[in-house]
Amino acid sequence: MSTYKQIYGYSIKNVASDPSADEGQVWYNNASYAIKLTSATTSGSWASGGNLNNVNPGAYLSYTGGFGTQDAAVNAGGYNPYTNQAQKYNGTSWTTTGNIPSSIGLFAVGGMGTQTAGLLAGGNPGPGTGSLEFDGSTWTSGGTLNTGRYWAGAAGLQTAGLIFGGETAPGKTNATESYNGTSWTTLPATTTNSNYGHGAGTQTAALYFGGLPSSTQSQKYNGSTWTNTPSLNTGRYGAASFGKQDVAVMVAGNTNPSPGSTATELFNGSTWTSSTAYPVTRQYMGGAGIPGGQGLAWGGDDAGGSPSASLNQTNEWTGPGVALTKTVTTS
Amino acid sequence: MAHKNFEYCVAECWGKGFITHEDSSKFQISGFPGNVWQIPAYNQEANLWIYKVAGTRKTLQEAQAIVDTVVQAAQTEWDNIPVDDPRKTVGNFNYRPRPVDIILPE
Repeated sequence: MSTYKQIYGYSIKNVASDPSADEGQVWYNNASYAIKLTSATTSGSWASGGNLNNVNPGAYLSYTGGFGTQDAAVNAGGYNPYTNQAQKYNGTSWTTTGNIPSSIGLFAVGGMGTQTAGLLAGGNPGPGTGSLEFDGSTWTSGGTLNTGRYWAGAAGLQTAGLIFGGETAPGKTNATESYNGTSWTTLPATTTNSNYGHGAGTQTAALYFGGLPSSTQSQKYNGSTWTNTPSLNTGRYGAASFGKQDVAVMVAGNTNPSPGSTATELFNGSTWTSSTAYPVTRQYMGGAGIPGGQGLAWGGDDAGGSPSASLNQTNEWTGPGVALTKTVTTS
Repeated sequence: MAHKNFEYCVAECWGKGFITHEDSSKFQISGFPGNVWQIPAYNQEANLWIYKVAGTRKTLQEAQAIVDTVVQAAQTEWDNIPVDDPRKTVGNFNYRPRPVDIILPE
């Protein structure tokens, strides 16, 4: 029988822990007694992340604000009841950090910024006109929105943020505003008045999609105008969203009248396609993930309306083309 | 032996590592109220996953009973909310319809 070395000219490494390897590399893990390899994912997949800290025993944590990356995310505020909690994620676990100044939920959805330079805007009780900046440990007041709103879409960074649409209670708005790190400026409106939608992308390449009651609307922004794109396959509001304009992800949400879903949809810059289902039925989750391809969603409720520990789940998304360690099996 | 499409177990999601990307790239794992998890039947990798998460196997009927208990508690909680409460008023952000029954497939 030929050996691996005879075929490829070198032996596979014998290691105690899995290395960070390029696609196609093979090794033997002597701790788990397994031959492993790195392959690229062909479709997206979900995996468990660290559970949220239960800051409010007996209740669930939903409608939280979120931003950051898959291994450096922040969630803050939330609802049921309103809370000022804030937590940071390091790719493995959540730790509490400085609370936001007051108990607010329903910030703009889509994420603005990073774990050390983040931004939240709007919110409820409201509709809020405030914004909050995060430096990695503390929160400070940012500029005041021209149009108060909650549950709007959001995109961008702390010094280059974008907010669009949202609930003005009563009513909904098509107002778009940009943030430069100091103040908010009104920009061209979205194509339709919509609320409870979701955002992704950057200040000059954003995406706005979904909304009440179970909207399939989708539109993108190029820094000067909004234009409609092909619709979502499953109309929803109350989903989590992250990514960028050509690698956007929409996760779960309320399909009205059916509460909660497991639907995952991906936008590639042109069309939305259905992808691997979220492991559990959820609505009103938080989400984060820049620049795209990877991200995470957390919390929310299971539409059963029953608080339980399982509602503290976080799940991490890895999109197509991402390196993944696999174990070689012989059966 | 009657053919079935799914197996069920009860397991508490402890967080990172409970479901890995390797797991979910091999088979579909779906969660339900009451920490009930559904995996494909007759699947070696899925059976190993139950072992990994220290899951307790449940028959379809047992799993359905667990889900029913959680959903019925939520329905009772919803029924006890006053009819004029914002949670029962369409258009409010925290409106939520009555929790629906969940029927686990065989």
